[in-house]
Amino acid sequence: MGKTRKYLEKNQAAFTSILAVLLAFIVVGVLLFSTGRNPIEAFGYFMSGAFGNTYNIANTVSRVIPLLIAAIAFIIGAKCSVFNVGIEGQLLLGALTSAVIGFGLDLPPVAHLPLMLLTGALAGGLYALIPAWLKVYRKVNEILSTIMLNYPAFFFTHYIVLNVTPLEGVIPATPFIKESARFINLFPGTRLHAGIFVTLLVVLFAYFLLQKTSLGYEMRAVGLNKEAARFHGIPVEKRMMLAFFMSGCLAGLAGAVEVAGVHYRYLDQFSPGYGYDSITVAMVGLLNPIGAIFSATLFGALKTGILDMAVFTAIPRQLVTLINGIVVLFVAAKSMIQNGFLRVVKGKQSDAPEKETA
Amino acid sequence: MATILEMRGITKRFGDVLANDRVNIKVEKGTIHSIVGENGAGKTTLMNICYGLYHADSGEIFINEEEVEIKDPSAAIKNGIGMIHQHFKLIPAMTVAENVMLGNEPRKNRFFLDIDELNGQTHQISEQYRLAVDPESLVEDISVGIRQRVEILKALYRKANLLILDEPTALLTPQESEDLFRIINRLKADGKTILFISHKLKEIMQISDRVTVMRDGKVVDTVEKKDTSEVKLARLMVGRDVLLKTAPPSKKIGEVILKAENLSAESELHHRQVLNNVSFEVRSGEVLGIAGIDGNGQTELVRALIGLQKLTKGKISLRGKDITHLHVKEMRDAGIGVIPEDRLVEGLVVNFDVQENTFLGLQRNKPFSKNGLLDWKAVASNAEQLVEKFDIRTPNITHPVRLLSGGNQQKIIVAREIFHAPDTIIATQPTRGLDIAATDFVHDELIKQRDLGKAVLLLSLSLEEIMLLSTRIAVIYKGEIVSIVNKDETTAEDLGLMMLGGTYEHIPA
Ligand SMILES: Nc1ncnc2c1ncn2[C@@H]1O[C@H](COP(=O)(O)OP(=O)(O)OP(=O)(O)O)[C@@H](O)[C@H]1O
Ligand SMILES: [Mg+2]
Repeated sequence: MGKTRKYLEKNQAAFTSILAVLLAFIVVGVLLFSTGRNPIEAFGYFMSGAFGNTYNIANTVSRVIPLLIAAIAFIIGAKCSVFNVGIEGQLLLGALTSAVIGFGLDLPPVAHLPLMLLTGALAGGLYALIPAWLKVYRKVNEILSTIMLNYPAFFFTHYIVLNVTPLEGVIPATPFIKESARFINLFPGTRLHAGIFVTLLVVLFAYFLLQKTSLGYEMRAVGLNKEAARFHGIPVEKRMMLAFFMSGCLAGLAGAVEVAGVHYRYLDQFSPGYGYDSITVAMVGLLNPIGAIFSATLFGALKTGILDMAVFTAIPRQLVTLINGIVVLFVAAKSMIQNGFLRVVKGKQSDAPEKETA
Repeated sequence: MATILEMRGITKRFGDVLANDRVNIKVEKGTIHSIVGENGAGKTTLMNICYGLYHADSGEIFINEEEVEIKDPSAAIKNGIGMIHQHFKLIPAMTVAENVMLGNEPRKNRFFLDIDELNGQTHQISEQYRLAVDPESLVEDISVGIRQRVEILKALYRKANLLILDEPTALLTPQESEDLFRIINRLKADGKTILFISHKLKEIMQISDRVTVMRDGKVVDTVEKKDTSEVKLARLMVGRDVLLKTAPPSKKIGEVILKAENLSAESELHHRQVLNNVSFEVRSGEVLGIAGIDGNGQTELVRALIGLQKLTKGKISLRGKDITHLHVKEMRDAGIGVIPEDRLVEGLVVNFDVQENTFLGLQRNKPFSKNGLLDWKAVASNAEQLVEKFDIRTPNITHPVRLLSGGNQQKIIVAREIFHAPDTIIATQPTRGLDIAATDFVHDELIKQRDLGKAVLLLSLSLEEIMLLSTRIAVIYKGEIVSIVNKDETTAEDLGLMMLGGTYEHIPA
């Protein structure tokens, strides 16, 4: 008993995240119930839609890919005190740039796909340098600047697709990218593609960078205490610029991977808000690359599972948005949940865990 | 005499740490009751429990001989308890009066802030206890000592009868401490009760009526001031005799290591001159003490020496090599170690764990890093060594530093800097918040480093510490070095005068 308690206490952050998600599901269940539907049955459809068979699993995983890469983008920034809410815009620019490389060039596969991913990443990274510079050298709050910079990116890509790149057919999109620039499909009939390996590399990269390198240590120090970092010779400004750039690059990469693995072209408005969802994914994953795998899987499942649930139980698809919103709310109320959690675990009133001693 | 506060059988555990172990304490009304004990003995924890910040695992609290449950600070305030934390909780951009009234503002016609009443009431309390604070000045403009009085005022405004002061003098200059003691005595004369924590036994003997000694989470004894002495208290605290010793004189003074020539600097904000032609040299094997009242340029001097403060003029050299324009990291790699003045802001990343803090600033140096990759094994073994050697009380090396007691946090910094500075150690308030045994230990370490041929620059607000450790003493006043004297050729009185700006004829022009 004492042991489980200790274990629960030690990993309280993780359990709080899980609790937040569970609570969100319960609230949604109550909502379904109160509108005359059977929440247990609905949940069953949800699970089978997301994980019921290999096809569904493959589809779920394909949804995880962009979410996870983008979540890592957010994490790398946040660890270094950079809150990049502009992932959506960077992702769009990355996708468009990579599509142009993909259809515009003729190269052997060994060079074409990597080049395409690289340019996509670079586009996102370069775009992120604008708010990075504003933050670091002009003290402009990056949350505001990055949110606003999502709009130019959105309209710019829209404009390019409609007016500059050749239109093939009626859908606003670029031409298809060459075969040499595509990820192979891993599961015919689903959208699962070899980009999953790139995704795993990205997770490993982030974990490795943050935990195993001097640079990552410095970035985390900047994220936790800029003054101390400066005092100990860490170039705070440079590290924040770099974190912003890396974050933008990964956002761009997320877009490029979607193009190379799913759409094979830049499809106008292809992103259902991956950039925004990624922030929730990162938060639920406790800003931890490994944690993000789990939360990205959850959010990927939300996207696929809800489809089946909607079809079989006549629940409007808007519910996905609602569930997303509810999870965000519960995650935001995390410290409240955490206190409640600790109270239960310790069997009495808890102390706020963040208190400093003197 | 009536008992205002009694805590009975208080036990508090943090994971594996037993911070309070069946603590009993009884505080009489209208007295000054001190608590002393080693770093990590559980003093702050006990006070936090009394103020409702922590909750005891077991035990009872009685106020005026009635059992109460203090579940949060507002319950404590209702019971007439006020706590002045070591880190003030004031809002810098607001005035003193606004800070004092925050949450209980007087209103006009229900909705409007009554500014006159606000200032009037603040002024009245300030007058009553002669706190000498101006209700209308902004908190950001006032000194640490006065901020502390604002905290006291805040507690008094909330009708506190029992005031808890947790190491109130750690941040104060000796002069400010004297002022504080006068205020505390006036409060006592007015019937208030004071719970006072300090590591400075001299202060304890000066102002307490009664002293409770804690060790390892337990109360060892509670004694009347008149029946005890500094030596006896020290023995109770540590469990053995502590010699109040003097440091041996410098053995072999060698070549010049750190040299500052005509350093001048301006403040960023108002272009006020903060350093003015500061020159000195520190030789191998000596401790140069910099004495001065807080705010006379010490902070800027240290920042200048490690490359964080822009100089308008001057040159810094280390072993004859010009290092004036090096970056912080290069300065430190060139051989300067610094114990900074504010441990929570500059010295530590409190949300890192112990081992991560033991190589802060050395994250690119061997053996911790090779080709940009961290060697966590080397980090851990070094951390284990420092913990052992410096007696850092922590459950393990992956414990977050923010959960350690103040003194143990300070030990991490001292350990790190002393062990990795090849040439020069700049020590700013190195023993702030340390208990007597730890203070002794750090003093010994600094002397050892000196005798290893390092140059030690010591900045301290405590003249005693300066007198104890220094080979030579420089006095800084308004950004200028007004005098540099040999320790043996001066007295505390002379130094005190110079620190206030009085000069002597034998000072070179
Ligand atoms: N919130 C907390 N979580 C975990 N451990 C804690 C917490 N607060 C205090 N401790 C531990 O409890 C013990 C007592 O700490 P406390 O701060 O009361 O000591 P202290 O007597 O005030 O020491 P100091 O003189 O150094 O300020 C220490 O070992 C400390 O690490
Ligand atoms: Mg303490």
